[in-house]
Amino acid sequence: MTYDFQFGYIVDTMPALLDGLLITIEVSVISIAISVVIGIVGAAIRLFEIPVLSQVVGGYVHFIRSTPLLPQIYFVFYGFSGLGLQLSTFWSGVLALSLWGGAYNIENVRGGFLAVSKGLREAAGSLAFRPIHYLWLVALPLGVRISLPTMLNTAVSVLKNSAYLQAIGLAELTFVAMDRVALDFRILEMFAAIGVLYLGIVLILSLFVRRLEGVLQRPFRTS
Amino acid sequence: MTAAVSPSSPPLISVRGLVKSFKGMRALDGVDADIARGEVLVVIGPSGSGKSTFIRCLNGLEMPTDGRIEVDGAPVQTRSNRDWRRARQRIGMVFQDYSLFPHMTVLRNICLAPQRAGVATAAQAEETAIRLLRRVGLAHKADSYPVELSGGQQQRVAIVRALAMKPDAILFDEPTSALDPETVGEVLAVMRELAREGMTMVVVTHEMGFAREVADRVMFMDRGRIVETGTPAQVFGSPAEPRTREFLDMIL
Repeated sequence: MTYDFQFGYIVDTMPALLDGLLITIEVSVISIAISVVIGIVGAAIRLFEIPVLSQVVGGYVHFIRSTPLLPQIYFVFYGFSGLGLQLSTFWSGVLALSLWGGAYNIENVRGGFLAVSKGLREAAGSLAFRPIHYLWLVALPLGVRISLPTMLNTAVSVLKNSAYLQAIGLAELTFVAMDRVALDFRILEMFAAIGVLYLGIVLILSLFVRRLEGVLQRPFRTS
Repeated sequence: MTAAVSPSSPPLISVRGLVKSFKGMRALDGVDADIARGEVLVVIGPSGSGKSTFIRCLNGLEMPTDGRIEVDGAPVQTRSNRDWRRARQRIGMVFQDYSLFPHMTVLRNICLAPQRAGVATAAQAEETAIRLLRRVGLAHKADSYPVELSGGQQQRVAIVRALAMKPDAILFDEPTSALDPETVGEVLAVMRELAREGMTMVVVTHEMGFAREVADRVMFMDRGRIVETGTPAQVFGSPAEPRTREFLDMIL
């Protein structure tokens, strides 16, 4: 028996899928933004080897990278409310994904910082720059340029991993699709549809980062 | 021309008993030196003699293991970042590899530090930068990025960047060692002019011609110690120490 692929079914469910897509985009964009901030702040703490904080950051990175994401999501959703921090499903998801992506971004950005030559740090020092000025004016623009490809990887992973948030009942794209599958059993239609939608937003994200890369590369082009 | 240290004017930079150890190896082993205002001190010696470590200690790029450093009579707490930041506003540095910020234009490379440190407003900093660039013949490169400049041009910009902070002294750490031979001259010419104008300079270099011509004093270092210090005529003409003679015979 051949599968009767009903394109019309995708069209019918598209409004619901787009609702899910919107949630996916919202949760991902916010989480990516926060994870970039966590990455920069964490990497700076490690760069300047700030006592105690540096160890805390190191432990946090190690913990996130050594444990599966799904239990981390459960931990944030159930654990934090047990600790008295009441968060909606949406913001629990944002928090979990931000903490996850942030840990990876700390390593990404740190790699970029370390690739900025020691000589430039000395030059900044000999010009009486404060550490924060070195960070903001030298290490960040040069280091982020270097770590942009790995940060894009992390951003794409955050976006894809937003699908795990169905586990805590967030009505994002995968959740909506699975819901329809449970109702109507149109499995191939649903997976084809969300496959195309995920591909599309990852493509848009990549194009955005490539543009950013172009801007940061400008001084290094000899013409 | 020799700037003698007189009791009425304390040395601009004074170093006593400077020691720097790297993992048990003594790169500097008890160095005493005074650098007078307006003096050009050229430091020579074989590689690994501690000459670079010595000038890097003078602005805190290396933290001395032991010893005292005074800038203009005021002791620098060598463990205090704030003390060093204050000292670095007064003591500029030029590096072997220029170390210009590659993502900034020439003008921004020069203007940034004086603005940050509150030495000048944006307009003042820019005016000073253009004036200094004109003096080293690079005013037309103000909006270029470092990658578009030759090594000699980059090093001249680096000197201007140090000058823009209106320092009392500038340290030069082998400023021509990374340059193509044909651009060494243009950098030395700028340094010669600075010396003529009375800038206090400490120069680590292998350019013996420059040392002979421009230095007020030449300091020969070996194995982390000062072997001898004297006028260029003394050190090059009739060195007192056999070790100095040996070194000069080898390189001249």
